[in-house]
Amino acid sequence: MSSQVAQPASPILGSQPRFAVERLVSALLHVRSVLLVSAALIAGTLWWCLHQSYNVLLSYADVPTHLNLARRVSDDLHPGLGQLGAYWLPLAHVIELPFVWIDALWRSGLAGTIPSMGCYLLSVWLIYRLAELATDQKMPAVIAALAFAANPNVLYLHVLAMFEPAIIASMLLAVYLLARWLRFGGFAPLVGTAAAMSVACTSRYEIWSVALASAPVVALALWQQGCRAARLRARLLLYLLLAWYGMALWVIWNLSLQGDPIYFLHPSFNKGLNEAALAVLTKRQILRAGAYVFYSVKDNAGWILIALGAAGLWRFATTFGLRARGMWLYLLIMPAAFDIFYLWFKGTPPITVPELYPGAPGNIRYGVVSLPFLCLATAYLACRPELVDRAGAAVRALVPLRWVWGLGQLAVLGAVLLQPIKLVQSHQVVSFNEPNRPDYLAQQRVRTATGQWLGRHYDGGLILMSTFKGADRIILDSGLEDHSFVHEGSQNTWKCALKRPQRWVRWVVLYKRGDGAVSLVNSQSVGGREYFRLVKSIGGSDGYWIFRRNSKPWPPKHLLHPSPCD
Amino acid sequence: MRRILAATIVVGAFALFIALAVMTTLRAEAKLPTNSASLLDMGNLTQLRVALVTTGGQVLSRIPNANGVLIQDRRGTIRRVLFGARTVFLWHHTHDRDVLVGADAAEIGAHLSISGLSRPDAFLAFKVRIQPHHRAVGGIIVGIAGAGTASELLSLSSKRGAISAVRLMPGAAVTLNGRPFARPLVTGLRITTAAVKDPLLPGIMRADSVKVLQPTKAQRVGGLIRTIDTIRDRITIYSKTQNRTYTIEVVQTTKITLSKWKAGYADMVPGDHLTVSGTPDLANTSIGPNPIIAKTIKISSPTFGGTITAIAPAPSGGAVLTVRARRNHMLRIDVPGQTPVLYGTQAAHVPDLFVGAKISVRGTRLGKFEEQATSIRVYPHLHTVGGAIVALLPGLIRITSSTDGSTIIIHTTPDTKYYSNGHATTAAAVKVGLHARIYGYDALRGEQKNIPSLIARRVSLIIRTHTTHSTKKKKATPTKAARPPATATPRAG
Repeated sequence: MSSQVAQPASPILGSQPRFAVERLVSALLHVRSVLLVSAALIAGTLWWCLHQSYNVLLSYADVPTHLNLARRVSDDLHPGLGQLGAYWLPLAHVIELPFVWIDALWRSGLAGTIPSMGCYLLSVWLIYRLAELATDQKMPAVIAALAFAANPNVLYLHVLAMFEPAIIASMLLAVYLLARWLRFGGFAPLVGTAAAMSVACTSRYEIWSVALASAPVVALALWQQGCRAARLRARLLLYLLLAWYGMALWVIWNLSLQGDPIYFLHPSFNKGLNEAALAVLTKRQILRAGAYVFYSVKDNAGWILIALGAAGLWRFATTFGLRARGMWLYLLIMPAAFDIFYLWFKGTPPITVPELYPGAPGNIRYGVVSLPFLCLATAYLACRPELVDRAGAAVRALVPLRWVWGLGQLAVLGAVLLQPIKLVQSHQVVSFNEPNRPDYLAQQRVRTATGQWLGRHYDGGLILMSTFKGADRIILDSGLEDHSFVHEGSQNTWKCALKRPQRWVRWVVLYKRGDGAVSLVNSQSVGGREYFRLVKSIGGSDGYWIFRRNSKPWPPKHLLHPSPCD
Repeated sequence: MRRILAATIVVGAFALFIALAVMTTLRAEAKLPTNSASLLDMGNLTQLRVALVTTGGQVLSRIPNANGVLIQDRRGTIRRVLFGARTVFLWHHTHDRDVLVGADAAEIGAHLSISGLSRPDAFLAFKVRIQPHHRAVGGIIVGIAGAGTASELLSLSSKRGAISAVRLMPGAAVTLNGRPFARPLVTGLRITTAAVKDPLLPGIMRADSVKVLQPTKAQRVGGLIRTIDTIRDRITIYSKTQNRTYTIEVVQTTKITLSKWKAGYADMVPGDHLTVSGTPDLANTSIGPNPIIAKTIKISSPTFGGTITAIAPAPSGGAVLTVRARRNHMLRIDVPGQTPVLYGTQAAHVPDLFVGAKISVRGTRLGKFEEQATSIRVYPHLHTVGGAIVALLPGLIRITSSTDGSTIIIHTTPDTKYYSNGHATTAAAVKVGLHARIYGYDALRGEQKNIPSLIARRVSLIIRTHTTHSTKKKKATPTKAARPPATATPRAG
C-alpha cells in the first residue's frame, strides 16, 4: 500500500510577489491604515496648534464658554447639571465632563481637544464603514475617509472644544446604524438607530432635521420590508418615541429650567447681540439663504469636492432612486437644508461668507457638517460598478477595464487629497481664518490681558462678570476658580449682585460696550463710584473696566426696608 | 433609464436651485452701489438695507466746498460724511423724536448716527439722525415770559452782557445743588442750562435742565451785628471793610460758637462782631441784601474788661467782680486774693478795687463770660485840679484847690510833663505861689489818708505877667500879650 502524501504545491514564479502586493494593497485599504493616517493628521494638527505663539485652541470665543459650561457642573457657586444651560444642546459639554475636572486641561483647552479628537477618529471610521456599506469596496471607503480626514477645516475644528466634532460623530453614528438597519433589517438595529438618533439630537439643532426626516425613511423602509398596518405602526412608533426622545427631553429641560419650553428659540441674551442686524441678509429670502449656506459648504470643502460630490449624488440617485436602502445618504444633507430653512425663517445666527458679505466672516464653520455627505457621495462616484466586473468576466478583453477604473479611483483620491493642499496653500482654511483674523485676535488679547490682570491682583471675594460676549476667556486666563465668579448662571446670586453689588461681590468686571451687567455702568454704586473704585481700564472702547469694592460699609443704617437681596 | 432620468431631474433641480441662489445673490451683491457716487443708483429696498452700514460720531467741522461734515467716532477715527440731495435729516430731542430738519442742524458738536454707504474716501449718508449738541447757556434771568406755563421762555444775560433766549422744556429738571428747586424761577437768579439749538425756532435754545447757581464754595464774612431777628432766624451784619450788609440765614445745621463754647442768640447783642462761614443763597435774594446760609457763626469774644458794678467777697481775700463790659455783657471775674493789681502805674491789691473802677483782666477763661483773673489792671479816673502852689517837696507838690480851698497833694513822676503858659518847661519852673493846673489821676490812699492826692501826668503853670504896653496897643495885639515869648518869663519873674 502506498500512501501518497500531498506535497505542497511548488511556488509559481511571480505568484509570491503578486500575493504580497495584494496583501500590501489590502493592508493599505484597511480601516486600520486609514485610522492610523487620520490619527497622524490630527496629532500633527494638534502639535502645530501647540507650537503657535498664542493659544490657537482657545481662538474661538465660544471655546472658553463651552469649557466653562462643562466645568461649572462641578465648579461653580451653584454647581449642578443646570449649569449646562438651556440654549446650547448639552452633548458636547457632557463628553467634556471627564476632562474639565483637571485644571491644566481645562485652562489650556485640551479638555475639549481630547473628546473632539476622539470624535474625529470615530467620524473617520464611520465614514469608512458607511462608504464600505454603500459600495462593498474598500477603495471608495478610503477615498471618503481621507477626503474627510485630510480636510484642514475638519482637522482644525476637531482640535477645538466646539460643537462640530460631536455633531458630525453623533450624526454619522446614527446614520450608520440606520444604514445597516436599512440593509440588513432586524429589530435590535432599529432600536439602536433610534437610540443613537436620540443622542445625536442633543448635539445641535441641525440634527433635529435629520431625526425628523428619518421618520419617513423608516416608514418607507418598513413598508418596503413588507411590514403592514399594525406592525408598521408599532415599529414606527417605537422608533419615533426613542429617536425623538432627545428632542422631547430638551423641551422638558427648557420648561423646568427657564419655565419656557421653547426658550432656546428666543434666549434672553440674544437681544443685545449685533447679529440681529444681519438677519436682513437672508430672512425671508430663500435664494439668498441657499446661496449663503452653499458658500459656507463650498468654503469648507472646496470646489473639487463639491463637483465630485454632486456627481456622486447623481450616480447614487440613479442607482438607488427612491429605494429606502439608499435614503440614509440624503439624511446627511439635512443639516444644510436646516440651515437654509433657519436662515430664511429667522436670519440668525447669520452665516457671513466673504464671497457674499464683505464684512467680517462668521459661522462659516457650519458648512463643515455637510462634508460627510460630500465625501460619501464622492466615494460612491468612485465605486466600481458591477457592470465592469461582469463585463470582465464575460469578455476577457474587457478585464483591463478594472484597472482603468482603478486608475480612475486613484485620480479621484488624488483630487480629494489635492483639495486640502490647495486650501492650505491659498490660505482659504475658513474655519481657521475666522477666529484668527487680527480684529478677532485683538479682542481675545484684551480678554487675556483682563484675565491676567485680574489673576495678579485678585485678593479674595466674588467677581461679578457677565459671560456674554466671550468673557469666559477671562475666567480661563485669570487662573481663578470658576466658583469665584458670579455670572448669569449663578441663579439668584446673579440677580441680587446686579441689584446690590456692594452687598455681594468685591470685584466687578464690565464690558465697555455693554454686556449682561450693563445696568451697573450707570448705577450709583459701581458707575457712580459710591461703593466701588475703578482700579483698571483695559483695552480701548472694546475693553473692560475692573472695579473693586471700597471700604464703605454695607448695609447703611438708614436702610429701613431691606429687600430679599439684602 | 427612467431611474437615471429621475435622478438627473432631482439632482439637476437641486443643482439648479443652488446655481440660481448663487447667481441671484451674486448679481444682487454686484449691484450694490458700493462704488457709486449717488444714492439714486440704489437697487431695491432690500438690497439697500443690505448695503447700508451705519456709523456715527461727533461733528468736528463742515467740509469746505462740499455738502458734508467731518465726524469723529468713539475710537477717534475721523471720517468724511457727504450728504446728498435725498439725505434725510432727523433731529432727535427729548420731546421731539425724529423731527425732519435740514442739513444745518448737523452743527459742530452734534452727534450723528448715519446709515449709508461706505466708500473708501467718504461715507455717503442716506439717513442722518442728529443728537443735538448740548451747550451750557447761563446768566442772570432778566426776563421771564409765560411764567408758570409748561414752557417758560427765559431771557438770560451773560457776564458779557449777551442776551440769550432759552425755552424751558416741559419736565425740565430745575435743581439747586443737585436737589430739586421747588421755588419758581425769578428774575435776578443766576442759572446755567443745558440747552440745544431749536431747529424750528432759530435763535431760541431749548433747555432740558436748569441748574440754579448756588456757589458751593463757602464764603466767610465778618461784621458787626446790626439786627437780630430771632423769629425768622436772620441776623444782619455790617462789614466795615467791605462796606456791605449781609443777611445771615441761621438754619438748623448752623453752628454758633463763642470761643470754644456753644452759643446762641442770647450770647450776642447788636454791636458784637460775628464771623460767618456759609454759602451765598442767591436764590433767596428777596429776604435781604447778600443772603448767606450760615454754616458756622463765630461770635467774637467780649473784651474781658469794663466797669466794676459789684464786688463780692471770696475766700482767702479774693473777690468776685461783676463787670459790665463794653456792649453791656455782664462778666464774672473770679479774683483770687493774691492777684496782682496794677492801679495805673501803682502796684495795688485786690481790696483796692472798688465799684466804678474801670479794669481790664488777664487770666484763664472759665466760660463764655467768666474768667479767673491772674492780673488786673485798673484804669484810674483822669481829671484836672487847679490851685495855688503852697509847698514844694521832692516829688510832691501841695496845692490849695481854687474850687474849695482844700489841700491836694500832687505826686510827680519822671513821666510828668511840665508846661508854663502852654510852653514845655521843666520841674525847676515850679515855684510856690504860682497857679497850677494838674492833670492826673487819683493816687491810692497812702499815708496821708485823709488828704486827696493825685498822680500828675501834666502840670501846667499859669504865670501872670505884668505888661507896660498901652491899652490901645494891648488891644491891637492881644495874642502876643496873652502869649509872651518864653524868654520873657524869667524876666518877668
